[in-house]
Amino acid sequence: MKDFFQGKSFKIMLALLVLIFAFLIRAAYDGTGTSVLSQAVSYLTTPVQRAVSGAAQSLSDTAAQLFRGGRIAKENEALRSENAALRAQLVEHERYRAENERLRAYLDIKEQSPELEFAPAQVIGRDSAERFYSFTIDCGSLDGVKVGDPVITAEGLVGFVQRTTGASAQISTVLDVACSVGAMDITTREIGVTEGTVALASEGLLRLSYLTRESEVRAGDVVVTSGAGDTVPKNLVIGTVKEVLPDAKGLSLYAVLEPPADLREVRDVLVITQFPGNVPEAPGEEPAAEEAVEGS
Amino acid sequence: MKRSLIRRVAKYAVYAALLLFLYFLQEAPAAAVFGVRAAPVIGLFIPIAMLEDEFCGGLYGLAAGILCDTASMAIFGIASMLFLVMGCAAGLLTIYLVNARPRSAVLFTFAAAAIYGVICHYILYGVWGYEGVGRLLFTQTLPSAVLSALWALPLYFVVRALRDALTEPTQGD
Repeated sequence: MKDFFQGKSFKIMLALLVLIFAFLIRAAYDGTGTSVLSQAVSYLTTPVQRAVSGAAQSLSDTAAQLFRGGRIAKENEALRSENAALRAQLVEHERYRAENERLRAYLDIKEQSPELEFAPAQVIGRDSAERFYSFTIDCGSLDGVKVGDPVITAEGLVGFVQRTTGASAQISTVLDVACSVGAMDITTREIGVTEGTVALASEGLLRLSYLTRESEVRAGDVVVTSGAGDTVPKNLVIGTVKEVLPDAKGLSLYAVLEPPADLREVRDVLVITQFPGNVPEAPGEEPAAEEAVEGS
Repeated sequence: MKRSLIRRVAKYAVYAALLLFLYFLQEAPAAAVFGVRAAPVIGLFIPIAMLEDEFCGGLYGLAAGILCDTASMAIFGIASMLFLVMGCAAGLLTIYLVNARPRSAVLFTFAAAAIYGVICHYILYGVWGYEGVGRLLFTQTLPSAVLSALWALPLYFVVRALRDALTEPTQGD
């Protein structure tokens, strides 16, 4: 053992350790969490990761189809019955269609808000050390992506950019315990903050906290971003209320939200690289309701 | 002499190619078993450290760490430094304490993956005091370490076969 510590190889490894430690200190000092070395590696690995990700996904889909043939048939039958019931509801409840059109106006972000700029991206990796379905995309700082940029799908908000290199970026989802978003119930106009919890994240859910005890939030309500703090555009769908429960101390309520997209299976996303402080209100917005929100 | 040099270079090149292949496999979104993801790169550099030497193990540990740091949400350098030290330690332990055997490779890999997982967990979540994150150690970190250790078993035999095929026998063997 003494020979090892006196040998040349130990000195080389010690020098490499010191070098990596210097990279770590530099990454911590400038706040990016990345280094020149990781930037260079990501330039080389991102194109290959993109190709491997596509191939692996195709293999996985094919295998899933082979093994789930019987279950798919049962699911198909159940979906047919559910479809018939939903059709009956649509016929009877015309006002749901009108509300659906109003919500689509919010969700149609690209046409309603041309001032937003997007970078389309594909999910190319999910790291083994991540716990809340965070993922890597094939867009980075060279594509205009910055730390803190919101990431969305056609259904709604998915998460935020946590780290970038030139060719890739790591995204933490709204299920992450470290992720909080200012939110609003679109029906009652009540304000809250969404946050991830370990218990709910395992089911693909998150919570909307700080609702008052008199809150009128109900299951089925749609929750969108409030735009508070100018960190995210307004009116991006975060999720649908599943249930409303009292918090541990009984002083307030919280709602369990179900995101519109399964964050564990997201494959294609849009990164909002630029947006103004507030997006223009959707057509048909009632000014009285907006004033009530601003006053609260 | 020249032939043995070519064989050595080829051996290390194959190790590097295998490391890259396992890294891409590790990061592929579809590569999860019941929601748990393994780190097969750990299962590669540990057997390399055990079957080659501590210097080789340290270098390949460093390379694996740099790749993992590129994809990780933790600050750059954590995996690099950890894996360099672990690769070196695995090599030294094999020289002075244990024999190079498949079960040793599995144990060392489990220990390395568990230590890396616990440290990452602490840095990303533990130190910030988020409620309930402790259970992630049992639902994600430990299962991930177990899966990574299972990778070490076939990789041990792969590395041993490559070493035997590409290492020039010394005189007197």
